[in-house]
Order: sequence, then structure tokens, then C-alpha cells
Amino acid sequence: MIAEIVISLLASLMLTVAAELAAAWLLKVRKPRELLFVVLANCITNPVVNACYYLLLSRTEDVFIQVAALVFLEIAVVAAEYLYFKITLKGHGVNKLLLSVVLNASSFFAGIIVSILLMLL
Amino acid sequence: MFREFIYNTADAILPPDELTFETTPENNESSGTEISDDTQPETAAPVETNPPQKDTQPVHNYFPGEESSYNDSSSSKSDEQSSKQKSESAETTKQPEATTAQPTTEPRQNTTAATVQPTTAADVNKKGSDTILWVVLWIAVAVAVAAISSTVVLLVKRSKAKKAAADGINQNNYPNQNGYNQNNFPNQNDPSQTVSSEDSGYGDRFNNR
Repeated sequence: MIAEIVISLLASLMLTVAAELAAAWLLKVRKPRELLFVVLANCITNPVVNACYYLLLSRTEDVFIQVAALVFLEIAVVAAEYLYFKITLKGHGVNKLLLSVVLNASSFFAGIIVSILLMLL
Repeated sequence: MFREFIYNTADAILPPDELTFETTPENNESSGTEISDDTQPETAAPVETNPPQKDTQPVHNYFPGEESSYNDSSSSKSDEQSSKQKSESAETTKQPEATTAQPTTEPRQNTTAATVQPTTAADVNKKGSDTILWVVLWIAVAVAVAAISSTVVLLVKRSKAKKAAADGINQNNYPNQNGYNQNNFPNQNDPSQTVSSEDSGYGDRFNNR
């Protein structure tokens, strides 16, 4: 049971990292150390958020609460990554808040597309 | 009158089918009743050898107001006894299942007994899943802490590299406090560090030409 959940978290993390690296490349964040910081940012936020969301799903079946919790968690992730990029990507000229929003939106929609594809399959 | 009263009390104590008020003396001895000989009826009409039916009217009806109840009680006493025996036997067989088939006087125990077992299994499953999710959360927190520590290490390395780079530039291009560079040669740009003409001995010859 634990192994299944950990594997699902790892898969989610890998998908998120892939989507955010692609989005960061498009925003001209291309140096190896900068991309490494993007990966580390997702390692900090993604597993914790997914574990919290799984806990919430086990406690309640109300769809409204689940959606509200998801929105809250995504906002918290955007804020945390903004602070992280502000510290780690000081020399880069890109707007850190815009970078955080774009990266998280790309990973969020990538997750939705993958889930839809899995449902169709 | 007095005999009728005695008969009524006797019927109330014992059911009519057990009474064997037959005219033969043998039956009187084996009747097992406590009624004395004086109370024996003169006629056979009040004696009821067969179990009375419910529709039949009893002879000993001293209390007219209680006809219906007496009819039910007298006519169905045999049925009641048989039913009592059956219920007693049924109760003895149902004793092992008393936990689930208790009388209606204790409905709470039925509901709690009926609902305890499913909730305990559900509670165990829920607790197990909660513990698993909490373990996963702690694993995620550990991964996050590792990523944060990696970030800190990378930032420290970067700052050190920047500082070292800045120090290296200073050391390669600019003199130290004594006015000499690392190679301990005088700085050619500083005229005070040039060799004086008196020392070399060539100053006057060159200057006076």
C-alpha cells in the first residue's frame, strides 16, 4: 500500500518536473544550475502537496472541500516557489512571480491531460 | 352456591383438563387434585374431561363480568401450557444466540451489538489507511528537507565561488599594502619605486647629455 502511494507520488513528481523544465526553457531559464533549482523547487513542494491532498481525500468526500483545498494548495505552491526563485535565481532577469505561475500552471494542466488520457485508455 | 364457589377457585388454580372429576372412584384417587370429596359435584355436567373449546361457555361462571377473560383463560389454558412449554424449550435453544436475539425490552443492546462489528472493521481499515498516508506525508517532508538542504549547499558553493573569484581578480591586478605585487618586483607605474640614479650611477651622464 505504501509502495503504491510512493510510486504514484514519484510519477507525479516526474511529470511535474518534466512539464516545468519545458516551461522554464521557454522562459529562457536554460543554465544547468538554474534548471537544477527548478527541479529542487518541485522536489520541495510537489510530494508534500500531493501527500496532503491524499490525506484530505481520505477524510472527506465533499467535492467542494476538495476543490477548495486544491486551489489553496496550488496558491501556496506558487507562493513558495516564488520565494525560492527569488533567492536562487537572483542573477536572472525573468520575473520570478510570473515564472512560478507559468511553471505551476503548466504542470497542473499537464496532470489534467495525463489523467484524461489514462481515463480514455 | 358454596360448591360453585369451590369449583371456580379450583378451576382458577388448576386447568379443567387436569381435573378428573369422574364418577369412578379410581379416577378420583388418581386425579391428583387437592379438592376434597365434599366438593365433588353430584352431576357429571360440570366435569370437563375433554379440553374445552374456546367457543364453549364454562359451567363455573361465578363472575359474570369476567366471561370473556375466563373463556379465553379457561379455553386456552391447555394451549397456553403447551405454548409455554414450547416457548421454554425455544428459549433454551435460543440462549446461545441471546446476544443477537434479545427481547424487545433491550433494544439498545440489539442496535449496538448489530452495529459494533461493522464499525470496528471499518475503523480498523480507516486507521490503517490514515497511518499509511501519514507515513507517506513524512516521507514527502523528508524529501522536501533534502531538497532544501541541497539548495542551501548549492547557494553556499555559489557564494564562495563568487567571493573567490572576486579575491582572485584583486590579487592578480592590484599591488599589496607594501606597494609590491606578489612577485616582489617594483611596480613600474609607480615612479617612487624606480631605481634612483644615485644608486645606479648612470643618472648624471644620461641627464646631462
